[in-house]
Amino acid sequence: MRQRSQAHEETRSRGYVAGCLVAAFFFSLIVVAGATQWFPSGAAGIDHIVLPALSFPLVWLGFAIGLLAAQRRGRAWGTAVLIVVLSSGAMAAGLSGVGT
Amino acid sequence: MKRVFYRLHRGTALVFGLAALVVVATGTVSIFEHELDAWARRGARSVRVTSSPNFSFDRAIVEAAGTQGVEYFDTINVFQRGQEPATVRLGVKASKDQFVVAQVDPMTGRLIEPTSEDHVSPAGSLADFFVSLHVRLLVPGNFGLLVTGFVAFGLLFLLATGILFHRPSPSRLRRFRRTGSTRTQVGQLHALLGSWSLPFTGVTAVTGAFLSFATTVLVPVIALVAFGGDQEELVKTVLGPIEIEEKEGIAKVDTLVTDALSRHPEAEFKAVALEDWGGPQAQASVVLEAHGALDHQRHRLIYDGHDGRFLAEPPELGAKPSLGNTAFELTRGLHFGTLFGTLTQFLWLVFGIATTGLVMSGLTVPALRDKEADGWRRLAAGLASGGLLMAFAATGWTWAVGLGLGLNPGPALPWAFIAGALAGGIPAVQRPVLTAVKNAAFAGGLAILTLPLGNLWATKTRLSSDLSETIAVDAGMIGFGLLVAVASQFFLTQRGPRHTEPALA
Repeated sequence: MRQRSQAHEETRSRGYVAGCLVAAFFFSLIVVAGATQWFPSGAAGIDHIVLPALSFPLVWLGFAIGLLAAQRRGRAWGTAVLIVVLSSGAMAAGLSGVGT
Repeated sequence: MKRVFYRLHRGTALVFGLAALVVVATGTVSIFEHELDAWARRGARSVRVTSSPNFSFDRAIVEAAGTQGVEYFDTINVFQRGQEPATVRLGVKASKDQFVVAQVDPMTGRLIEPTSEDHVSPAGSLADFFVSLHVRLLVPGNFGLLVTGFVAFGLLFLLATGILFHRPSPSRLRRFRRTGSTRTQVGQLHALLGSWSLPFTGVTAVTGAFLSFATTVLVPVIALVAFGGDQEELVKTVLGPIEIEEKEGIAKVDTLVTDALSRHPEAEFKAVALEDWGGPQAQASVVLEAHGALDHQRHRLIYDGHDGRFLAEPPELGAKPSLGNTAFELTRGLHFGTLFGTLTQFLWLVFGIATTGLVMSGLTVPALRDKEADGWRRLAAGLASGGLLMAFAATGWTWAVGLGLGLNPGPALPWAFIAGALAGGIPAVQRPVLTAVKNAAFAGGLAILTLPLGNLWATKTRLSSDLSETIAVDAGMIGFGLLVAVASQFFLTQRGPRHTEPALA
């Protein structure tokens, strides 16, 4: 009985890890896409596209480690979702052509 | 918390470890792609398109276009990869049928038949195979790039969790005790290599993930959000739009390539891209590269496509210098090891070998723990150590035998790599892991050590005046093979009791 519960716990834990890594991937895509709307475009008018794109792997790592290593999971997910909601707002502005 | 990071590290290694090892090891070899390609031809260089009196860019384009004529093309690219013939690619957006790819012999200036874009000569197939394996892990198209992108994420995650539970410190850079069991020593080697190669592994994983995801994920998503889904508009903005006056005429490509080379006599021709050729916005970009001992320069020169007038030499990205362009050039220079020319190539080779050893030792440690060493862990350890060496050796020898027999070895190389890995790795499931690894490493080392002989036979000892790269690669293979063969006999011996150390040192 104890072994079965341990195995169940391990499967749940693996599912949580995989879920965090996949969520981090989509979260970071939204953040990078959203950043193209508010990041300064610089002298050549390309910084707002190139710099967020270059930072994509680091943004993913930040989300992944933040979600997995947090002592308080609720707070970590809350912060991540807040960042994603704000970025989604910027993305929506871009998609609807606001400010272009 | 340390325990959580350890479990994450171990779990990620089980999923991504072997793929990461193949990507890291083939990436290390790919740093010297051009030298390996020159070795495969024993220095017999093909003629460069820009130094052949018989090659003409304009004629090559006309011949490639054939009966279609060259009145209008959205894009025309002409480039020469390493020692391969020149490739001409012509495309019209409106009609997919008019997309043409042809290869032209630089010596005669004539079309080579039959041909395709990914056609590689038998001699060039060895270097091409290692680069393809590194970039796409044998998975075709953009899906292959996605796979290597996720492998780079896996490596990055392994690195982050490794840092969080190993806690690297300056003292770890020299901590290696010769006492303790073999497992303890392999574990110590893993921590030592991890500490030394930490910045390199991190930088190549981050830059590699970006390069893999750039065209597959980032460009479509950013284009959707910022350019209404128009990827061409995104690319045009990032490259920096150049205004072209509308007028009649089509420029001579030969003339503008000659002009570009006269502006940078130290550089070599890489590619020419013609946009809207025959249309109102016709323009040409000529790309040149100069590779030195301590620096690497890339030049992009823009010409008017109507009269061939030189317009500008902008940075790689954007019409003028910017932070984005500097960051992009740094990313590319760091990933390809060209940041400070040949110096960084050699440094990257050393760190690449260290990172390969890091992943190899990380996958071997679990198999040396008797209680946890199930068949899969033993197989993973076998594949990661002796299997990898045997895979490289089998690929090299298959290439040499195929070429020597007058066949094209290219299609057989993926199978040779897999067969070599299995031949070296499977014995670890049945026999004591260390004995299996020791035997496979010894055989792999000997096969790599003798590969220059296979090359001599395959190329029929054809010699050229420029053998410097060939001799350097020969020496590298002999040195590496000898080191592996000797080290496997001296160091891969079971020492001490197997359960003397706790799981987390």
